[in-house]
Amino acid sequence: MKVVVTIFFAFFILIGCKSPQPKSTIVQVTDKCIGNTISIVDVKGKKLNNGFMKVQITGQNLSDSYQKLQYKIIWLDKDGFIIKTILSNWQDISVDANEPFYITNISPNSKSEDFRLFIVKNNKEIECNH
Amino acid sequence: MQSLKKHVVSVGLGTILLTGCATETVNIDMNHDKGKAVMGLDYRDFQASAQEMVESMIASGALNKKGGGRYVLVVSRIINDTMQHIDTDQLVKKIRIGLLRSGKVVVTTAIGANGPEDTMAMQTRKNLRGNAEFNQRTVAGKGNMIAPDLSLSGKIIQRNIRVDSSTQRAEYYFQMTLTDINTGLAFWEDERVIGKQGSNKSVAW
Repeated sequence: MKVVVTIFFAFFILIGCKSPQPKSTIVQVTDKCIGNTISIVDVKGKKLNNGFMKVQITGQNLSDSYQKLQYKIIWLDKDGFIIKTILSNWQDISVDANEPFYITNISPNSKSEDFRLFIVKNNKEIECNH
Repeated sequence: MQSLKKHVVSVGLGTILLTGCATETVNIDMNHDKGKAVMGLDYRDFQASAQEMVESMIASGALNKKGGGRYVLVVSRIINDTMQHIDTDQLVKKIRIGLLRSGKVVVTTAIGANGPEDTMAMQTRKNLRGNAEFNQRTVAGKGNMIAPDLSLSGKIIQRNIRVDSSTQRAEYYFQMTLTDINTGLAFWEDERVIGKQGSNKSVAW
C-alpha cells in the first residue's frame, strides 16, 4: 500500500510541476527543430583545447522573403545549472530568402558543458537542444 | 446655475485631458526590450556591442595564456568621438564583466589611463605604510602589485549622413584593440558598426 501511495504522489508531483506551454510558443525538444518558415538542420558543439565550447547551428530560411531573427544561447554547466553571462543576451541575425544561415558562438567560460538555443520570430520561440 | 454647469464641464474636461495625455510609466523588460529604436545610442547598443566584443576576444584565442593562468588586463583610454555624452563605462564595464567571468583575465584597478581606477587601494597602501596606528603585518607590502600584461583601448565614432530632406542616417563604429604590453603588438582587434535611420527631426546627440 505504501508503495502505491508513493508512486501516486511521485506521479502527481511530476505532472504537477510541468507547466503547460503557452499556445503562442513553439517548443521542440529535439536536435532538429522545424518552424513554419525556418528549419534548424544541424547543431554542432565541441570542446576546444582551452576548455571552452564552440557551437555552430545551421538553419535554412524556407520562405521567399528575408527574415530578421533573434537568437540567444543559454549555457549550462555539467550539473545543468545555467551560467549567467552577458553572452546569453538576444542577438540579431539576418536570414536571406531561401538561403541557409549559420549561428556560431563560443561559451562564456570553460565550465560550459551544454547549451540551449532559442530563436524568436514573430513571437514564436523555437528551442533546440544540443 | 448656468455658471455652475460651465464650471463642472470645465473641470471634467480638464480631468480627462490631464489623465488621457499622461504617458503611463512602466518598467522595461531589459532582457526582452521590444521598445522602438532611437537615433542615439542606448543600452541595447552597448549590450550587443559588448557581447560581440567579448565573444570575438574569447574566440580569437588571444586570451589563452601560454602555460595556463590568467592575463592581467588594464583598461586604457576609450575615446568617445560621438556627438553624445557617453560614459564609456557603459561599454567597458560589460566587457570587463564578460572577460572576468571567462576565467581568462583579471583586471587591474591599480592603474589606468587617468590614474588608478580605485584610488582608495593606492591611498591605503601609501597612507597606512609606516602608520603606527595600524598593524603593519596587515598593511599591503611593497612589490606585491601585479603589472598588467594586456591593455584594452578603443574608440566610439559617430557619422551623421543626410539621406534626403526628411531622413538622416547615423553610423556608430565601436572599435577595440587588445595590446600586448610587453611587445606593443595588437593581439586582437575588432569593429562593430551600428547603423540607424530616422527622421531629420530626431536628434542623434
